[in-house]
Amino acid sequence: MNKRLTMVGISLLVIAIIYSACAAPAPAPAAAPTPAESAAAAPAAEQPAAPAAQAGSRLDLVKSRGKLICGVNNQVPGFGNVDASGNYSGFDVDFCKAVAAAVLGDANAVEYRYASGNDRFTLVSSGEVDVLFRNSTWTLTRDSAEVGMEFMPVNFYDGQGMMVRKDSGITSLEDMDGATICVQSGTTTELNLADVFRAKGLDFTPVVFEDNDKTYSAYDEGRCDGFTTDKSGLVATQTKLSNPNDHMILEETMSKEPLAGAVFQGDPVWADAVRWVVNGLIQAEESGVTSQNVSEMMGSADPTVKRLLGVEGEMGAKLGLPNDFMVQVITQVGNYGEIYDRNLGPNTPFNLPRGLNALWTQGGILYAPPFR
Amino acid sequence: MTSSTLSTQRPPFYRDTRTIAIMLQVLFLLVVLLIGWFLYNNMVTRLAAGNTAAGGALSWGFLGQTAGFGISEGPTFRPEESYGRAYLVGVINTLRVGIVGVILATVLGLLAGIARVSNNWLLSKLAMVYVEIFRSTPLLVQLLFWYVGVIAALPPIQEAAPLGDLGYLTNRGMYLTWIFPSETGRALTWWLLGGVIVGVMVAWLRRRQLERAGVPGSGVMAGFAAFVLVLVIGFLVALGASQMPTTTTYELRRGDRGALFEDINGNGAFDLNVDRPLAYVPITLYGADGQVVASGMTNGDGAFRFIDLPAEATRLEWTTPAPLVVSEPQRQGFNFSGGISVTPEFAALLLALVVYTGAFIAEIVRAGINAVNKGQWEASRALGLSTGATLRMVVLPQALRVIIPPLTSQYLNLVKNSSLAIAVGYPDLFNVSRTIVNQTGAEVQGILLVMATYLTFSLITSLFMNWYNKRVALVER
Repeated sequence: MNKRLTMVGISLLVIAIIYSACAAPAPAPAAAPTPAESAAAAPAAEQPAAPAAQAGSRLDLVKSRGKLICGVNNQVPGFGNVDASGNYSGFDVDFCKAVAAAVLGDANAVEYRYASGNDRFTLVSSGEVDVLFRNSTWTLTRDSAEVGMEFMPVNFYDGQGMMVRKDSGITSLEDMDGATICVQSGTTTELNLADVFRAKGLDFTPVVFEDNDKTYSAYDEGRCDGFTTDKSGLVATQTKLSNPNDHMILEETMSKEPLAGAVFQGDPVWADAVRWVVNGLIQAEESGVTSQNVSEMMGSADPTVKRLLGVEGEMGAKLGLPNDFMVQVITQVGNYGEIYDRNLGPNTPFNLPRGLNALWTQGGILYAPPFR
Repeated sequence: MTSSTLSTQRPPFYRDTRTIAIMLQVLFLLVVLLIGWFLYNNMVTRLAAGNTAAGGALSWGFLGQTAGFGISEGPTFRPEESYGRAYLVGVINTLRVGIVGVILATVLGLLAGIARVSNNWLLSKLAMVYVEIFRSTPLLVQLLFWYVGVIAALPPIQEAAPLGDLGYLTNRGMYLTWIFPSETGRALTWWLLGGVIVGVMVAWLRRRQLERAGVPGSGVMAGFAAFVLVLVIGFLVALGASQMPTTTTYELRRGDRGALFEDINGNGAFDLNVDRPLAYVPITLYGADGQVVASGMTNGDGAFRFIDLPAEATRLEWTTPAPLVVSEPQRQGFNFSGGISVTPEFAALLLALVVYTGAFIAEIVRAGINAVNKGQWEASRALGLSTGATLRMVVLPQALRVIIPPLTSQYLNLVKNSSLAIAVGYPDLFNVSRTIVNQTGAEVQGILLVMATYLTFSLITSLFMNWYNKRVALVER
């Protein structure tokens, strides 16, 4: 009797398990064939199953969602930072706003997602974020099918530097033989560090952390002799150290770090849209269109300005964007120069000279392909 | 008549409980396989759509590519070595913290557990406070507390606090004087292993002999004596045979650093994984004029490096070392060299894991002791056994049966929790795997590798503990 009861119990249990197991995958195929209807309602993560295979582009998805999901940093003042009340600001953040203004007409229709050094590319390839603006270096491997990023035009030319204590007696990398160096994991920085020291035949010990805050605080506490990241990042981080004036950045530049936005490889429509927003920002500065004078410039006789602002030609339509997309971007966010000055310029604590990031007409290497 | 026909008539097969049982099992297996296939298929489709490295199939070729990044501790790792080897270094680092952690957590947990049931009011309350605090706060918080709050607060390396003659304590880690087997004492590691085996065997024989004679006592002392004897013989043998390899060669770079090695392929240059580095050999460096510019000892990897030499060294001479050498930590440039060092990352992780898991083990030990019938205590006291002897010989052996199964879970937890190492930058297997995945884009492979590794660790631990559990289980007669 007892045995039979047990048997019945087990059978019931097994049947229950089988039912629940069957029930779980069942709704999935039912929902899958109608992504167009559910696109707006469904969470972003479920959508990108095969953006390339499906007809729809991420551009349509962003439009129907009414919001841009942007992967950013939240620990580097000036580039991507979040304040106590949860507001994002910074150079990279403004590029997210520009894309949102171009696609949706509203610079504030952005949902920010923190992308760590380790998971940023996964966020893009899995479709968690639409676009990544997170001081990421454009490299061959990341661009290739191996990591699968599609890089946007470079929006900041940077180079890797090294921060040391002024009283350490270090004046160049040659003095750092045998030093312990704090570095963030999953970055090109980590690889350049090893390359540079290997090339010079010097020994070093890396101490590797998963995010910028942990890395610089370990350096601040004296765990390391040096702290390395992109020079812009060093300048930004120096303001966060307990005694910023006790530290200095070595002259040497250890690498080329062209920082650029990135989207999912294999969605040319979306990639083109974002690419030309970045180009448009640079072109706007070159043409002298600013957030102040944009309405006057609408009446400009310059054909380049006319095309840029959608007064003439169908530039926006060719990208699947409104024709006046750059008007929205410039009115709400400003041109490249305004973004730079607002976040990194002379009126900020960083006061970073434009250097390579000046327009090609002014001694830099920023150059937008023609708007035609 | 009717009743007999009824009894011989077999029920239809679908009502036979044995058939039903088998059918259900088969059905269940099918469902499991179906779900597995669905998940695998889903992954493959999405990989193909997501044009990642895999492109639909999982390739493992990346493991052979050059890593290009450095690893702060563990077995020596150079950036020019492969991702596969980098991962292996991560695995060894996990094992280092896991094995030491399990041993220390057991000791701490046992002591705290016994203290909790002690009659000493102060001791039992102290143990209670320890258990309650460390059991009730998250491990990650504790880990950061040890790393940021305790270790980072130690003096900086410029003002290293000396620990008597033993070494130094700084916020870069602890540096201790240590004894190492040198080049001529290489065989001592094997003698050590042999000594352990002989020691265990002698201890076992001695115990059996004592048991047969009916004399109380254990074989531990005899085993230990045998162990020491083997080691002494090993040392004397090594001393008698100490000789440097005939093809000993050195490589001198930048006039102040290089390596001493046995030139196995005879090409005069040090080749990784081919030539054998010579560890802990005394060396003297000479300058161009024949003057001595530095003297010291090679390190465990046969390498040496001096700083601030009066002149560039052009020549090197070595002497035959004793089988065992004492290496003292010395300030050299930015860090200490020589001796052994414990990094802050390792120390913080180990402390956090041991203290946290120890609190849980203490509760398990307390439960085990309380599970032993009070009559056992009273009976042993009536026999005139002291409290310590009662605990050791009567209570703990019985408590072990209750203790072992939950203890296994705690060991598994400790090993798995070590993946929190990423929070303090300790290069365990998870931390290293994240870097590898980020550099290569091999997401799925990376996660599969990590899961398979942890699963292997856990299964081995479980197997061992189950075997031990069977040994201490109550033998039913």
